Amino acid sequence: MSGYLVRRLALSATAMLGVITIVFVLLHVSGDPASLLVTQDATRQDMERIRQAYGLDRPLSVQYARFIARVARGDLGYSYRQGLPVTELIADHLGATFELALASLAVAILLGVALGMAAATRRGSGVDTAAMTVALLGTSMPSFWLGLLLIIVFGVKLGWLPISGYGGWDHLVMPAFVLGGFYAAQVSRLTRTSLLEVLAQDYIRTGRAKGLRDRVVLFKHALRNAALPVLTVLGLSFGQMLGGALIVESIFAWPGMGRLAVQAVLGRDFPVVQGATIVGAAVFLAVNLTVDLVYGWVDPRLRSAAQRA
Amino acid sequence: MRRGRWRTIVALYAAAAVVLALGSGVATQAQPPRVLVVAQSADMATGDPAKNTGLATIAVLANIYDTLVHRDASLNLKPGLALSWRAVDPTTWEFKLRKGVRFHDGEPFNAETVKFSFDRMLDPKTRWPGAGALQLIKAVTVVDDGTVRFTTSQPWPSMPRFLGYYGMIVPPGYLKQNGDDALARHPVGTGPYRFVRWVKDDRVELEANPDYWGGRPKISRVVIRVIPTDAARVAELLAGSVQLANLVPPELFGALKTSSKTKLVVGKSLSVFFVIYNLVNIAKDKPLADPRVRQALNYAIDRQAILASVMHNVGTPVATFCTAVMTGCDTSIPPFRYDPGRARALLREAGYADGFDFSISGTSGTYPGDRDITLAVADQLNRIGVRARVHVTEVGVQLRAVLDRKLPEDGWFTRFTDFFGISTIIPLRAFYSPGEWSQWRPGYAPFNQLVEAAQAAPDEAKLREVSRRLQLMYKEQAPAITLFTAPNANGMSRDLEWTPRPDLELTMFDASWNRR
Repeated sequence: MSGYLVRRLALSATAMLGVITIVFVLLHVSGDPASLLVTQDATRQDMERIRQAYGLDRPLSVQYARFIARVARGDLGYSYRQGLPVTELIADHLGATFELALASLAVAILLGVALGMAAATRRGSGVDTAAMTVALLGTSMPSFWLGLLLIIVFGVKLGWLPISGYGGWDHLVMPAFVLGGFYAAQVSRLTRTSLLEVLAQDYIRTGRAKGLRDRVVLFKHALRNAALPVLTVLGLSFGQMLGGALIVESIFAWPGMGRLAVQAVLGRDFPVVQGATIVGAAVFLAVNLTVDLVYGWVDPRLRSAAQRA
Repeated sequence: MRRGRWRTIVALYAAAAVVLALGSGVATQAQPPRVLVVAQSADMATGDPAKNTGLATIAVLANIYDTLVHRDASLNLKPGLALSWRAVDPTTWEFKLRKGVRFHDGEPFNAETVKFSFDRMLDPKTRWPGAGALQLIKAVTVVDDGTVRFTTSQPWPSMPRFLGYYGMIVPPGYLKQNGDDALARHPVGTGPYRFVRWVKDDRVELEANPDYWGGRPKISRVVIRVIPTDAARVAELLAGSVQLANLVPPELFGALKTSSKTKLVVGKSLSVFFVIYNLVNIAKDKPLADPRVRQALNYAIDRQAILASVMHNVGTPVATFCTAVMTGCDTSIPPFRYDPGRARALLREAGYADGFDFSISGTSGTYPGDRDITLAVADQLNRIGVRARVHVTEVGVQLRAVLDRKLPEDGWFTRFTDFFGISTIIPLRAFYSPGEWSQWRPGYAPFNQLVEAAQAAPDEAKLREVSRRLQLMYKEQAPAITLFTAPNANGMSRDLEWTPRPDLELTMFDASWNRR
């Protein structure tokens, strides 16, 4: 098991180095931070001075080597635009992102699993059709459209919920529903398929034949076995949510990582883009690793297979 | 049994809905809000005015800090931290300072603080992106506690205008004690509002400074929120949870005009939209090398039609590079009239009766209406036989190509703004051959000479005269398709009184509630 863990960690580190390198190269060939940092009143000397101050006049290889050396020391540098440490900026935005991601994950699980179960246990009925129609709408509705629709109805017309911004739980409702709803749609379809497969197994029939109540068969025997593929998708989704959900964050003015990263990209604030990418990649890899480890807990067969290996 | 449970659930939902509905009814009947909530699309980058010149940053910091010179909503110069100023000789300006002013932390303001602030701003180690605009300042000297002198490397009659926008005064004691990062996180100035709290990318909270030298602001608490999506910003206005949103794009004007709670307030503009020709080392046999062709494309544009269809009639066609509110801009010079016949005649005269290929580099979502304006311009050019195409590019890539003089297109759509409000600055940046953004190279020597003369003008009367000659020459040479002013459109709650500023600062000192 520990050997497996070490291999996975080494693989993650390589993946991260790849991500960092790609981002570094793409950023540096795509535009000039100096021209975006200054107003149109600036002179050429201003821009040259900024390039020198940030080492942007050095060869790309030198800039890359310095950057990697700094990252290895845990120093992500200072933002060009804000003059503050990148680690501080990321810390300021990570909390909001976690809140939104957790709330959205809860929506995805509760809504997705419930819809999927309802559809699977009443296969072919009106409930099944209705649940899968909702799921289809959930995946196909663009989040900016659904977001604005909710804002108009619940924010402007009814005045029940705050339209945007960061604050109490009521600020979380609409963004979590829009972000979580999208993933809930995927989860519900997957839960339905997976559950239908398990419900057709012999041991379920045996369970029913020996007189177990429907609820026990469904929750104790079927759902746990059907959970594995759902867990994989939830893990990946959670990783994506933690990377920042730009559209949802922008519509609802949620001060999360997605906005930090995109503003930095548009302003060519290299240190922030790189910092956000590194943290995003690390979080994504960590979530995936955790999901892999959780598999063992959910399915003892995998745990023993890993031990044998 | 099952039916009974459903009934309970439905009843609970209905009860919850009634409670929520009543709750919201109570909320809307509450007193008019005492807290003024302002929304802009981006956050301030830092609380330290010597670290950033971004629009969103200055818009907020103008509430916390003061400059020596203030400007009213028509950009007339007014006493700020300086009571008066005069030119002692052509290269020396003397400022008499206001007495008894204190920073929000109690530190006194005096000539030393002015010297400290300017020395810090202009020190290359500070990396202030705006330093170039004040590069003519050679030294700042303290004459006495209430008098300070600026020595410039050449005569600079417009210096007070520059100090009406740049040059926020910071507290030296606070900085020495707490360091630069402290000011970035917690700004301390002498301005009408004191900093309370900053939640990055969400809000900056301010409270009225009761000891402000200009009197206590009428509105005691201001929250400046960051709402990046235009539609959400306007939705907040319609719902009444935000009372002022700036830089509203044209497609949302309608909603603001029809709602009973909101109004659209358009301010004076310091920005002009252009399609600037790429004249970098242009060969003599190319169509754009001929001023008649460059003029022809100007005659082909129906500016009013674009303003009506894309900009909801917000904006004014301009003749040249300046707007009415800028010092020295001669508004008696008429804009190019829409005259496709004349455009075709000029093309024929120049030997391009069958038109030519013309590509435009445009952006999408960088400036209000940018993509639609560029497409409309291209369409109108096609009608006189010019085969115009638009290439939409990311703005960073476009600006880089322009700065490097490697623009692949024949022209670029852009907006030029001069926050100092001087008519001869945009030509200096955009059309003077050595100018940073200029694509007119090697350019036209008489024009360059006039731009230089404008910078050296000893007084405003001379500046006005040179500016007029420059505008006439610009119109004749036509180094760009000159369009119209960019909108300074603000959505406001009907019970808020405030005049939008041409420099887009969101100073709330002169805002008040209008309780009818």
